[in-house]
Amino acid sequence: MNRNRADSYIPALAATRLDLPPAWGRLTSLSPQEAEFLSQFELPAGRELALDFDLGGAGFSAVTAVIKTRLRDKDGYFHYRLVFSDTAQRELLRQALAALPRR
Amino acid sequence: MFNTVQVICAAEKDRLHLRGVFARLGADAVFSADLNDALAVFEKARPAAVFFADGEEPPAEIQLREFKRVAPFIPVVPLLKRRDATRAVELMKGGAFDCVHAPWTAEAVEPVYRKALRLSGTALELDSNALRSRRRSAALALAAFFAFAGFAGGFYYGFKRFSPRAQAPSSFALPYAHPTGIVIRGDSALVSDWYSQGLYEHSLEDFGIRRVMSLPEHTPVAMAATADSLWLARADGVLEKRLLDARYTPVTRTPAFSPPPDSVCFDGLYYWTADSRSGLITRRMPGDALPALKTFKYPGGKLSALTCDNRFLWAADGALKSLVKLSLDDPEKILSRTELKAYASRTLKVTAVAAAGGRVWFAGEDGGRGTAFYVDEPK
Repeated sequence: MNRNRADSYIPALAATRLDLPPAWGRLTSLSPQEAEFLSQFELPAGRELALDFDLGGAGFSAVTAVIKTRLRDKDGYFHYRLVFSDTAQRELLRQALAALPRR
Repeated sequence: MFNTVQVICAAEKDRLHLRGVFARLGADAVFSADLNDALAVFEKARPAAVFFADGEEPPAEIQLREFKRVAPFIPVVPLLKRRDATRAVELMKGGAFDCVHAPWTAEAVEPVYRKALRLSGTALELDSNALRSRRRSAALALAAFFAFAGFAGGFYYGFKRFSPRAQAPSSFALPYAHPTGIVIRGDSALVSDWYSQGLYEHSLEDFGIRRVMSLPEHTPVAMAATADSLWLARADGVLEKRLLDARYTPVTRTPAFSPPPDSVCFDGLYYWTADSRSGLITRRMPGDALPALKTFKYPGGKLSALTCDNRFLWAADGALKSLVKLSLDDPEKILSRTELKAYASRTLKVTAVAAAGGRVWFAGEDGGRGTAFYVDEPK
């Protein structure tokens, strides 16, 4: 995580379908199909998550994603590659991303 | 590695515990009792990161703001008194680097401490040629920007002065195709969609999406709002009462009604449901079960969707291509009928209607696309 960009990474809440308390972290990359999620919390690969986050002024709630891969860095943080599983939510993400001002 | 961290904690017991945790991590921890004490230390030396206990005075949001003002690049980490992901995300939106959850064990603090101290900071380059060429490009880009800004300014002035003023649109395309319910609350419109099984909160100004809530367990077919709750009609004929909180938490539900209603509204005293297939309109008592009081036959052509306010029932009528106003006392009596221009499109199918603020809002499908529009309330 680069200091100059840390604040611009999108904070996200990740709830699992089980009775575990939700985890949190930051989305380090986001596309309509998948995302990279950086968190101090350990979650097993294959687990389905429901993500809550803000994007371009809109709040996304319970966006379903599956953990495809995970990697633990030397600081102890987990890098998860998530794949969004709901087609309608993917389309909404695509529209929200397309509406963002280009950098 | 520069490993001095500042820890702000008023409680002596917590401070003692944290002293042990940071010592175990090999950190050089400087303790302060409160924010003022910490800012006084900041004037003399800058730590690599700041950790502060949440739930003490001043509130975490103010501490974050103060640290961001004094030292915007230092990672600031609240130590949460309990594992609350919603609060953690809110604090991260407010500028926190991350949050440590309770209990503040060395295992919980370590990854955040290590990550906070390993931040790479400003990108540095050894290749000064690249830096010079980047500066040249930046100067050229700046000159081009000013030239363009001058041209665009003149063009904008002329355009604004000589072009007619645009009217605000009264119809909007929806990014989903199967809306079933619409509710107006303040400056927002809440629309349900059966196909994507979602609730979409739109800004009334431009109908941009503000929030999306997924309802994977149910198929919403109609919606109504009261002052403190949202009623969601499901495809199986059950009406769910939900709170108007961030997750629309379900509270109670009715037994399954037959036929399953596809319109629902609250007139301030009674609830009303309607079934567009049979044209039956039912007045219901308030309560968890919404028992039926009386059923009426819709007197118009083809009932597409029904809503109400505290004066009238409003129906979108696909056969009459009109908005029909009915009496609350006797819904079998038409008070007025106003043709809707939107029905000029032969493929329009209105599926939801809502009345609020002197306007009647409609949502529906038109040629395979979702649409929403409003008309001023007819006199």
